[in-house]
Amino acid sequence: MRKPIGVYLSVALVIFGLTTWGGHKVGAKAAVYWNQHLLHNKAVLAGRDGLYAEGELHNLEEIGMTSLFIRILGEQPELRRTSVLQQVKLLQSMRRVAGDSDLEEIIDQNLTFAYAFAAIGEDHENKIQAAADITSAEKLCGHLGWKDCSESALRAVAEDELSRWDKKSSPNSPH
Amino acid sequence: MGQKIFPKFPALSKAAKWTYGTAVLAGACTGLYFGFMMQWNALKLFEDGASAGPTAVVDFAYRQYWYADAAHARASLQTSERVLQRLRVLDASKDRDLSLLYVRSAILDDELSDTLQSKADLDAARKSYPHRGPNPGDAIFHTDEELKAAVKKLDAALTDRSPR
Repeated sequence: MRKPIGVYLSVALVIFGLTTWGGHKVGAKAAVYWNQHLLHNKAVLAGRDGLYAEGELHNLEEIGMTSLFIRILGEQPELRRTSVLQQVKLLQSMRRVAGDSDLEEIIDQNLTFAYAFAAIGEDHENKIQAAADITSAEKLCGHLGWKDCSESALRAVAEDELSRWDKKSSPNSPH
Repeated sequence: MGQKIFPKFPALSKAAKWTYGTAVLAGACTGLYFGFMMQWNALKLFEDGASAGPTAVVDFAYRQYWYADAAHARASLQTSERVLQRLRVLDASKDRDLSLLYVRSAILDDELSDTLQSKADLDAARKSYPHRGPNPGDAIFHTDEELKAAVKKLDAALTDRSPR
C-alpha cells in the first residue's frame, strides 16, 4: 500500500524538528566544552601560574554566579532563600580547602553576606537559626576588619545590598 | 545505500529512507550549528562584559573599601590586585578594574598618610589603564588629584553615599 507523499513529508518534518532540537543541545554543550578547552590550553601554556589561575578562576566564577543568582531573585523570595542556603554550603566547603590563599578572604566576605542574607530570610520562620546566622556573620566580619560588625549594621549592609538589586530589577526603576 | 542506513526497516521504500535520512542529517547539522554559535556568542559576550569570576574579586574589593577600616581595606585591595594580576594570564581580568583598584588603594594610602605608596599606586593605575582621550597623548586626568577626585565622584554616584 502506498502512503500519500504528505505523510512522508510530515514525518520527515517531525524528524527534522527533533534532530534540530537534539543537535542544538549537543552544539551548545560542545561550545561550552570547546571554550573550557581553549581556556585550559591557555593555562597550560602559561605554566604553573596559569594552572593556578585556572583553579582560582573556577572558584571565583562559582562564587560570582551564586551571588548573582541571589541578587536577581528579588521577586522570588523562596527561591532566593534556597539559593542563599546553597551558597552558604558552597562557601563553607570552599573555605575548608582554601587554606591560607588569597581566596580565603574573598570567601569569608561572601560568607558574611550569605549568613546575613540567610538571617534576613529566616527572620519570620526560624528566629533561633537567624540568630545563629548573624553570630556567624559577626565572627567573620571581625576578621575582615569592618568598622561596624554589630547585628544591626550587618543587617543594614545586607539589606542595602539586596535592595539595590531589587530596585534595579523593578519595572518602576528609574534606571 | 538506503538498505545500509536503515537495515532494520525493510518495509520503508527507498524514497522514504532517503527523505528521512536527509531530514536527520539536515536537522542535526542545523541544530549543531545554531546551538554551537548561539552558546559561543553568549559565552564571548559574557567574557567581554563582566565575567562572574573577576566581578567577584572587584565586588570584594569594593565592599572592603567601603566597610573596612583603612588598613584592612588596603590589605584587601592588595589581595584583589594580586588575584586580578594572576587572572590576566588567562585574559580574564580587565585593565580598567585593576586601574580602579590602584586608585582606590591610593585614596586609602592618603588616609594612612603613606604618600610614597599613594604615588606608586597612582603610577600603577596609569600604567594598567592609561585614562586617555580619543587622540593619542590626550590625558583626561592630568594630575593625581584629578584622578582620585574622579574615582571618588564615581563611587559616590554608584552608591549614593558621600565619598570615602
